[in-house]
Amino acid sequence: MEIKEKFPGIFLIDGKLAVKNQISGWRPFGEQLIKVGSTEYRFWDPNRSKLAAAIMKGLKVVPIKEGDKILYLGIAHGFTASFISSIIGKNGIIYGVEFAPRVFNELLPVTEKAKNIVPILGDARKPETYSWVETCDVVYVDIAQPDLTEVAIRNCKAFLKRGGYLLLAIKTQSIDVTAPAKRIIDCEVEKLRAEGFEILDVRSLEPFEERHGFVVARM
Amino acid sequence: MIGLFAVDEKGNLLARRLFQKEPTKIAEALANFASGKRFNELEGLIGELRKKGYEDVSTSQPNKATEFVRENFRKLAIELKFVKNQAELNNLLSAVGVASSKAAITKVGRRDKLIIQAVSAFNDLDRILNLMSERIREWYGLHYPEFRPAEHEKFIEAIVKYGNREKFEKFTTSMGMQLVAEDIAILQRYAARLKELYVLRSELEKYLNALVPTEMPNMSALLGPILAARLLAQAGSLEKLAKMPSSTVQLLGAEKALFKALRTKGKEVKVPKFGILFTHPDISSAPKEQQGKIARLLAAKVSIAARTDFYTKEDRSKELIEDYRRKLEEARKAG
Ligand SMILES: C[S@@+](CC[C@H](N)C(=O)[O-])C[C@H]1O[C@@H](n2cnc3c(N)ncnc32)[C@H](O)[C@@H]1O
Repeated sequence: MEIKEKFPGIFLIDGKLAVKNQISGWRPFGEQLIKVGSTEYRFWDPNRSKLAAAIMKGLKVVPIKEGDKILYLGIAHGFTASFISSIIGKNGIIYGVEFAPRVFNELLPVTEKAKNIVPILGDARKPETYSWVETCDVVYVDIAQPDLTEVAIRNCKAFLKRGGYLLLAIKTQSIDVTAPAKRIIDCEVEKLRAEGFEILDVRSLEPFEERHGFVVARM
Repeated sequence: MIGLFAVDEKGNLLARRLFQKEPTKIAEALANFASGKRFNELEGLIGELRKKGYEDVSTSQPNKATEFVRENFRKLAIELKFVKNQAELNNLLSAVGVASSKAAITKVGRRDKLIIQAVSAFNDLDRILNLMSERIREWYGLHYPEFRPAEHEKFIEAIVKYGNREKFEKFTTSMGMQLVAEDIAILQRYAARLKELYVLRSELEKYLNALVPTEMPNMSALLGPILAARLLAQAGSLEKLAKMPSSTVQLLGAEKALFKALRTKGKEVKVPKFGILFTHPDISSAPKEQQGKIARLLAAKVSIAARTDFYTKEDRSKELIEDYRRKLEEARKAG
C-alpha cells in the first residue's frame, strides 16, 4: 500500500483521497475506513465533495491547515466539513452557515461529534445576523445561488483576514443554464479580480460534478 | 459569543459584560441580541455606560465593537479567563451553535403551515368578495341599472363615493327606482365594508408574495407564489407535496371529480386530467388536445421543485424553468 501526504493532513492511499480519522471508528456518512499501523484513515469520496473533486482534478494549493478558522457558507449535511474538521484539528474551527432547517437533522450529530464545527442556522446573504463570528483564515463557499460570488465577496470583506483565502465552488447552472460553463466561471473569476482578489487556481470539476468550477483566491 | 463589549468611536474598549459559560444561556443572549430585545447583560452594560457619561449607545450592525471583538476574539477569551485554551473555546462555540440552531429550528420549522392558512384565507376571501359583490350589484341595480362597470371594485368605489345616482358626474336618466336617504345609507355602508375587504385581499396577496418565495423558492418561481401556495394547501404540507408522485400532484384539487369517475363505471364519465394546476395559463390557454400532455409536464417539474424546496431549499428555479420551457416548446410543436 502506498500512502502519500498530498497536502498537510490530506493523504492519497493507493490513489484514493483520505484524512486521518480524529475519532476512531467515526464514519458519519458510511465512509470506508482503513487502519494502517496505529493510524485510522477515512476515505473522502470526490463524487460527494467538491473540495475532494477539486483536489483530484489537480488543485495546486489547498490553503487549509491545522488550527485554521474557517467560515463555511452552505455547509449542508456537513460532508465536506467533516473532512475539513479532521484537517484543522481541535485547535481549528469551522463556522458552518446553512439556511435549510431540514439538513440540521444530519448536520447536528456531525457537529456534536466533531466538536470543532459551529452550526449556524442563517442566511449567507445576511452576514449581520452572525456578526459574532471571529475573523477567519479561510472562507469556503458552496451555496449554489445565482449571486454566490457576490455573497462570497461580502462575507470575505466582513470575516476574512487580510491575506486569507477564499475557496469558491461555482455551480454554473444556478447562474445561467444556457451559457457555456467556462464562460460563466471566467465571469465570476473576473468579479473576484475586480474586488482585489488574487486568483491562485481555477479547476473544472468534470466528471465529478457537471458544469461546476472551483476557485482558490487570496484577498 | 463570550460577552458584550462596548467601544468608543476610536475603537477603545469602554465596558464589557461576559456571559455565563453555559451554551444554552449564551445561545439565548445571542438570539436576544440579534432580534434587538433587551436582556440582563445588555441592560447592565448600557447602565454602566450611562454612568460613565455615554448617552448615545448604538447596537446596530456592523459597528466598531463587533470589529474589535472579531479581531481580538481569541485573545480576549483567554486574557479575560473566559476559557483556558483554544480547544475549550472551540468546544464551547460548537455547543452554542448546536443550542442556537436547535432553538432556531423549532421557531422557524413550520412556515408551510402559515402559508397554508394565509392562502386558504385568501381563497375564502375571494369567494366572499364574489358573493358580496354580486349581491351589491343586484341591489344597487334596482336604483341605477345602467351603471355596469366590468370590475367589481370600480362599481363598489363609485357607490361609496356618490351614493345616489344623481350625484354621478355622467348621470342623465335611469330606468331604475328612486331611493330615499336610508336606502342609500345602508348600501353605502355595505359598499364601504366591501371595499375594505378588497384592501385586505391585496394585503394578503402582498404577504403571500413575500412569504412563499422564501419558503418555496422553486415552486414559487415555477408557478407564481399564489398558485404554489394553493397547491401546497391542497397537499397539506410541504413534506407531503415533496413525497407525492407527480401523477398525484397533477390531480391535486380534482379529488372529488376523480372519485366520482372511479365510482361510476359508465363510459360517459371521463377521468379528470388536472386539478388546480389547470389554472396555470400554460395549460388553460393550450388547445384541448395538448392540455393533458402539458399538465403532465408541468406536474413533473412541480414535483422536482417541491422536493428541492423541502429537502434543500436551494434555488434551482432557473434550470427548472429553462428545462420546462424547452419541453413545453417541443410539446407544442408536436401538437
Ligand atoms: C451544494 S450544497 C452544499 C454541499 C456541501 N458544501 C458539501 O460539500 O458537503 C448547497 C447548500 O447551500 C445551502 N444554501 C443555499 N443558499 C444559502 C444561503 N443563502 N445561506 C445559507 N445556505 C445556503 C443550501 O441549503 C444547500 O444545503
